[in-house]
Amino acid sequence: MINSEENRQKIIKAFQKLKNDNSFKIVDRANPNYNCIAWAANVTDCWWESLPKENRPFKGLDGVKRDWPFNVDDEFSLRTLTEIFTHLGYVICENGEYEKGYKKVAFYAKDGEAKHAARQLTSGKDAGVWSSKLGSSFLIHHGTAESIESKVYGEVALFMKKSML
Amino acid sequence: MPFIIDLPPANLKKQITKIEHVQSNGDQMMPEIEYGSLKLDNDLFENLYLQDKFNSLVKLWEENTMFESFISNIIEEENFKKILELDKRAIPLIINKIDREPSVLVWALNIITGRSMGSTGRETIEQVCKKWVKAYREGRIQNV
Repeated sequence: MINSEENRQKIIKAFQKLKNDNSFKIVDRANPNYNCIAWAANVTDCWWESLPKENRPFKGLDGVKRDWPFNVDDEFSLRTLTEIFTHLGYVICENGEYEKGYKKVAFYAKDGEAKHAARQLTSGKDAGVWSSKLGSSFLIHHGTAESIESKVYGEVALFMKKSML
Repeated sequence: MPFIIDLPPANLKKQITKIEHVQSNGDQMMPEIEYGSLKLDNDLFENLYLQDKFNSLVKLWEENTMFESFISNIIEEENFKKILELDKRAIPLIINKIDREPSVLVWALNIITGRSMGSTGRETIEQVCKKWVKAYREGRIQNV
């Protein structure tokens, strides 16, 4: 079972704040076809990570496509993440609280380096819940963006939002 | 006190243990017994050592990269690099592993062999793992 206690404990071991998160749930098995940055942009067939411009998209490894969209610089940083999501129609916002009619993303940084991105769900009973793809591992839901602050991903550094209208 | 023997790849000459049952009636001269030294199967020890080393490296690599968001960090992780250093000896071990559990460990095969099994560029990790296993079982992948 994907949301088994064994799997949950593996994740909680790395992301201690999830222990007290009632919304924490593993919703999909480990899937190496996309990473957290792609998931934050609702892309599920590609890894988004910085690449030299002449190598985009890059298919050198089996079973996975890598890309760094919108011709942004070959640099993985809050700056380039902001640039990519600006291209997608997002603007910087103050916090991760759910606002009806908007979808939000959060970027995480550790020691000044960008590490992770998560997105907020907007429909049905999960509206307001956050969703994170943990590398090539599980896809999880968590109640707040701050729930996965950790030694692994650092802390939330920036929020952006986009109108769905 | 327990001790741990770390067995490096042995370079022992292949020898054979010889056992003889000797009966003596007291009068006969005892036949000469060839007291050869204990001989070991070189391949067996090497294979056991390699499998154990491979298993340890994969376990550590998986633990260290489980939540890693960047492919470049996954394939540059120190234990993954040590798997690559095993070079073609690792191929059958990787094949067995991804046969049981398809995973991004398949990327080690891309790097070691310089080959790709992805024909359309749209295969998933599971699909390419199956392709690699099939190719190996059909003898289309050279290992050692």
